[in-house]
Amino acid sequence: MSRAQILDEEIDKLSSDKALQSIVDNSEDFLGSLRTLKEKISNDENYNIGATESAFNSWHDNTVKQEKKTHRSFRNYTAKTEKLFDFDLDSVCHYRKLDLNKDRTEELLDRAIVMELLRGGEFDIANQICEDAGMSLPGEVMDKFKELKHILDSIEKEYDLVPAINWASRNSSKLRRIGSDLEFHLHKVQFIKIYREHKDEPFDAYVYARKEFPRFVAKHLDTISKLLGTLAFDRMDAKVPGVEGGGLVSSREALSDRISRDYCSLMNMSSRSPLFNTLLASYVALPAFKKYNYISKVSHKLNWTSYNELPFEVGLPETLQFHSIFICPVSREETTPANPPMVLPCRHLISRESLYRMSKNGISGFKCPYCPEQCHMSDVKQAHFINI
Amino acid sequence: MSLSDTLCSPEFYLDLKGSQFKIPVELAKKNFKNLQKMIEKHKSGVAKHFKQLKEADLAKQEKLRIVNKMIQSQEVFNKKLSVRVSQHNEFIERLICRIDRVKRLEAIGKRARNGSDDESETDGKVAPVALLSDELVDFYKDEINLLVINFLLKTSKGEDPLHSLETNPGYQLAKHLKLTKLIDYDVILQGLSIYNKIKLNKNLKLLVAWCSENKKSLSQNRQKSKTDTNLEFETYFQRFIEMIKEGDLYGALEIANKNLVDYVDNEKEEEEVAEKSNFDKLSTGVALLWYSMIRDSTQNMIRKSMQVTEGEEEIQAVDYYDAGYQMLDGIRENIEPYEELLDDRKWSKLADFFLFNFNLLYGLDQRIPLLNMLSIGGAVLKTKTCLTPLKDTDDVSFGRILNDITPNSEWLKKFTTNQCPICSPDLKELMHILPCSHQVKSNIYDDPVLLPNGNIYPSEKLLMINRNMHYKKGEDENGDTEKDDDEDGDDEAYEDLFTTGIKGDALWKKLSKFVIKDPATGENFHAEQLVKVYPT
Repeated sequence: MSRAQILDEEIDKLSSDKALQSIVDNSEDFLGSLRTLKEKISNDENYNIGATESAFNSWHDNTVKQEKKTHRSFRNYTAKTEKLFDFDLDSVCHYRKLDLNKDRTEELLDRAIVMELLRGGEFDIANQICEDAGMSLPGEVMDKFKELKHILDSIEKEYDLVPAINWASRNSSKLRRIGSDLEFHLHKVQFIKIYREHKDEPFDAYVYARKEFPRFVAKHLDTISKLLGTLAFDRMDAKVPGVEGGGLVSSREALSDRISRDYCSLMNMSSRSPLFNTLLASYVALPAFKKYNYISKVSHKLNWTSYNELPFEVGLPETLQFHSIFICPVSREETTPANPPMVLPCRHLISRESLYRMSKNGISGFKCPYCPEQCHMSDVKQAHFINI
Repeated sequence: MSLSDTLCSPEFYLDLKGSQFKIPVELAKKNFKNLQKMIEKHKSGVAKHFKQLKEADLAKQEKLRIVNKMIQSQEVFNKKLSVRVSQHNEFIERLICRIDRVKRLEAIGKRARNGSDDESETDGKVAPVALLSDELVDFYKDEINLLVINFLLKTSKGEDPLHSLETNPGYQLAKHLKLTKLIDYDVILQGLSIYNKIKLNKNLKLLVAWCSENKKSLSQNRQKSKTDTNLEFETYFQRFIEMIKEGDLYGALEIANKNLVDYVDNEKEEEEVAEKSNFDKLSTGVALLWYSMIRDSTQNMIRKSMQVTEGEEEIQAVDYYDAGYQMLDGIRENIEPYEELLDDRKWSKLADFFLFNFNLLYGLDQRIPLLNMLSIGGAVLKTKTCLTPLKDTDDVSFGRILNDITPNSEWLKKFTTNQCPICSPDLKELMHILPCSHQVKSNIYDDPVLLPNGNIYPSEKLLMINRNMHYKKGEDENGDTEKDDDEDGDDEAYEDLFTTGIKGDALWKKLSKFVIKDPATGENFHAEQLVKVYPT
């Protein structure tokens, strides 16, 4: 049985144990019999204290029984689950880690968390952290994020796109410079929204299209014609040929996510919070760390490590790869700012160190490692990979 | 097993969540113990009342009075009882919530597997190695929030964080994100409160109470962790020292008699080692009784002799052969352990030791998980390209971030992608100490194109950016990009190239007469100057 199943079962047992509830019910019953006794006494009816006392005794016996039962279920749960967990996160990485007592770790972390909270619109908490840590949060940063929050809130709560559209048209050229179609996308969503809200008056949507779409015709003619084509149909849902799929209809969350990414990009911040991305990478990488750790424990032979570099490779999803990596085909080493990639005249690339080695420090000509081309130091140019 | 399979596996997840399934039960046990005590007390009370009631010749009024009293006390008891029981239910509720989360993860995994099966059947393509579904990312987003909340809770400021939840950022964040059932904030803050009491207020009251409440678990802890230090002993020992400091030697002796001697004179075999070290400590403590009396005079003497030596210019090597100097050195060495005991740092040590025991008891991480996780993720994301030297900065403020994100800052000019968390102003300094990731494969876009200035771009994206910027042949770059002025027909020629659907070499041929702008440097080049490169 897997751990999750054991836990599930034990928690189920624990939660279905109604022993304590039975004590509560019993106590209410006993209170009832006390009240009856009182009534009888005050009405001078026949009463029997012994009967009430035996009610008490049975209450007593029941509590003892139920207490034992509860005690047993606790003991059982602990016994069954105690041995399930023995993993210690602290043990998986063996290099110098972040340490609260060192340098300015705590302040820097507080600051990173505040930036993350601002993105999430948690202004009060961000302020509280700054206050506790004695940092001051500049109003201009705050205001920027408040505008974002306003835009997102309007979408989330009332599905009101107007603040977003206004912001996008104010920043139209900036958005285009970062390669974003957000402005058009927003108009598109707005068009669909108008169409849906005024099904009997498709003309409203048409008017909107007349007003807003011409600016985008050059680039989005295709989409626009599809959108307008749908006016002829009854519904704009999935059934319309050529329009189906996520292209036109996207969820509020996806839209909010897209807006907040572009908004942060325009502020020259990364579209997702650095803290979030790093921690996501941590979860992705953790299995590899555990595996390495396990193997090294079993084999005792893995104690090699290159200086200041992890001893194993970790595959990350594309969304978590931020830099272009060039491994020199000759030395099999990653190029660095100190050892940059160089372009040969045949347009193949090698690292500078390899280049120096092959050309005997630039004195002699050499053959490209990929093709027959003869190269000379003078024909070689330093290159720089840029990821956009 | 693919990456997303691993991340969806409850086994992987549960490794990180051990304490989550332990703490609520510990809390419930404590609550239950208190409940038992309450019942016990109530029982004897009721029994007493019955005895009174049964006394033969009681007037009706008297009987009514007693019964009324019984009813009253039963009502109070019932109320208290249901409070305890609802607390119990709340703790169990936490467990249910947590196991439900495990189940949710399993369900996500199942859906992801089904999805990828379908794909591989229909397309015949191999699914991408590492693709995380939005659902999975959302799930881990909550985990990340929990890490942050845990950090905020554990570093809560203020002396008594347990009783100032309203201003506690960690708790407030958990509340806003509706995650309170997934984190045992009360336990974390209780630990911190006791810790602060010890460290800041030098108050042992809470600690003593906590120790006696958890006597049994503490001794289990000692066996598990194989430490020979005993928190209870240390606590009373600290009290003993404080008494001496205050000059109350009799009080100190009383504590030694009442609370300390037991720890050195125990018959149990398994604690033998611990007792020996306790015995040593206690004997040092007893010596402290004496030292406290001569402390002032000893220190005066040392100070005086030091002044004499310092008066004679500086200490020479030969001085070490001087018997007087040697003696002085000897004395200083001898009193060192006593000074250590009297030092205020002993309080921080005790506080740290308490927290260690506290965390052990509840299965909480000794190191804040956020730090461990950041150390892992940071190293994995860090590439050699991120290795730019730190700018020397004097303070941690938001000014730095503002400065870094203003256009024309040095950082932006270099146009290293501002998406990388390691290069971001938020984390750069923190990540500085971490090692780099290990890379064995080149990871470069498919369509690299080289500009005459050495910059290499993915060609499609470069054209896309240029398309959005509407730079055209012959047009001067005036930097007038703020104005939204380019909706006229001038760029139609450029735009047309994309709507005609030409691709590849044909497109490049057509492009040759246009100007392409390097987005990093702002330089303009004729498209014909651009060349394809073949890095791999």
